Amino acid sequence: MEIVLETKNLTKKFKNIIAVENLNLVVYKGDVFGFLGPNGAGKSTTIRMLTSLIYPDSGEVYLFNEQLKPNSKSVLRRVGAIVESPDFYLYLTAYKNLEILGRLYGITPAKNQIMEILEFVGLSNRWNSKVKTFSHGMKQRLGIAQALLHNPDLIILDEPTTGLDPQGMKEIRQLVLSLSKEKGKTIFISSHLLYEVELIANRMIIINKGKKIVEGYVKELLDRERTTYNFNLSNLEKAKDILISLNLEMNKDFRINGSELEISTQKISASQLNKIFVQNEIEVYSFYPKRSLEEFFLEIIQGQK
Amino acid sequence: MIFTLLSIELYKIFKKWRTYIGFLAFGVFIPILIYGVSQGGNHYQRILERNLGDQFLIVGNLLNGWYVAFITIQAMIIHIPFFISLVAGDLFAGEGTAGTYRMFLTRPISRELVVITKYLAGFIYTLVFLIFFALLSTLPSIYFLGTGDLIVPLEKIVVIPSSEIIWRFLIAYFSSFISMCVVVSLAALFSSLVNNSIGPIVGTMAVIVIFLIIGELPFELFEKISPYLFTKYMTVWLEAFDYPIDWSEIIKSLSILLAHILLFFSITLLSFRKKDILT
Repeated sequence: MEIVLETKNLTKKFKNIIAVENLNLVVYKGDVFGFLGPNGAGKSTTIRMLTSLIYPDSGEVYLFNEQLKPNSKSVLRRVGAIVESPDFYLYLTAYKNLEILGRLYGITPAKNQIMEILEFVGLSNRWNSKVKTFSHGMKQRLGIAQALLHNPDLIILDEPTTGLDPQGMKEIRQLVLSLSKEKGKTIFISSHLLYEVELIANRMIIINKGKKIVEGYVKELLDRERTTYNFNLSNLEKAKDILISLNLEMNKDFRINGSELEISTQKISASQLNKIFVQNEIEVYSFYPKRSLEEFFLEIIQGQK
Repeated sequence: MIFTLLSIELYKIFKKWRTYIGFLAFGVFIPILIYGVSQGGNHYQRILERNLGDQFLIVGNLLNGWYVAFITIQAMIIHIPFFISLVAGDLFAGEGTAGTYRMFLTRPISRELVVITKYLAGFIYTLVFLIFFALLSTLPSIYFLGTGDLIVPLEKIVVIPSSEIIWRFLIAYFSSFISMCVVVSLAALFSSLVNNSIGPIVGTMAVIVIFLIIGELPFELFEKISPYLFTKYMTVWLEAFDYPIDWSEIIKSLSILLAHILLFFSITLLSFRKKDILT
């Protein structure tokens, strides 16, 4: 697989505080790569190093197998980025901002090219409005537009849904997914909203206190641990007794939680459990997997403390 | 790329309201001054003529357009540096305040080029402002008050014949431009170190005012320090109105000012190359 982004022992200190320590990560072509960590974990510092806003104390950043250096930034032509909240020249229109930012890539974007991008992010009707009149969500979408303007191969998005309402978050997620699926872009997306990454990323890394905790495919990382299911049943006590009588070696791993039976298992699937309950004349109203990236993340982070 | 960046910098400068404060201030002040001189200058002219009449042969009106232009050029000492630092102090810090560094510096452009184009944009703004100032302070005043010899009432009184006035003003404005470029450089240097433009503006003016005061204090210590303060050479344009012109002094002053521009630019370049963009 072609490596698009790689860091080797990336380290950055601010006075005595180590913001990022020996961070190694690899992003492959076509990945939607989730970059996870609690607030203050070093995500933004890392992204700033990936985009040459700050320079590492040690370690290297490789973009498309080319090392990013202070005096060698031409490879950034292949990267589009939003670092934290996208800020623009508020006294200029959306169109003019995109034109200026496009020209900084060494291209002079044609009007129809800018309008197409604005259309893609749903801002074509406000192309001539000054950015100071834009809502936060509109600025986020304009931020994505400026990151796409020069048709980059890698898009780096730093918490792109921060401050958005649920509808806005959903729109950004759909935008990211369409960039990945329809346009074939590689996406590096940081977030502390874990379910968000779970919904869109195929690979991920979790960092805490500047260090890598885990890296891999989202599916594999989630499957590696046991899964918890919540069953809403007609008779919780009976269901519990059945599970004990079946001697599934999971006696300690289930409990009644309100109106639900919470079952944590590695050996038996949800469909098998459902079958057992139905065969024993217990009505199954609903069940859902509780095992999520969020739980996984919290366990890992708590394990660090 | 340098022309692209420069055009973008100039576009940003001339799209901001603060850029026009200086234009507006002098656009209001100079017409008022011309009107005031035209309405009430007779008494002042009689005093001048009484004092000078037995030493000089005065040709024409003493309170003429050139005299008003000479009065207004005194604004180069404090007022124009202030208006220039309003713009130059915002060159870098404005990007920090607005957060646009994050957009700007994630592009494949070198930081050295960013510094060079921001400085050039500051110099061009200064040039445009000084051309505006020069035209506004000469053309309307000559139209309404006429021409004649120029009386220069400074440490000694110098009367400049009308035939020499234009090229002397040209030298004065050119020297002023170099002086104001020092202001741009200092303000830009301060601006590159912080993320709020108030500090660079106030800092630049504080340095200029304090250096000017120190340079004028009649005490031995300050007299020794004075040659090392760049403000001593910023009034080089006054030399254009001396008689005869001390060319060596003009060349020396301009060289020192240019050296300061280079110094401030180099410090900016060095610090900005390594600056962590954290805004």
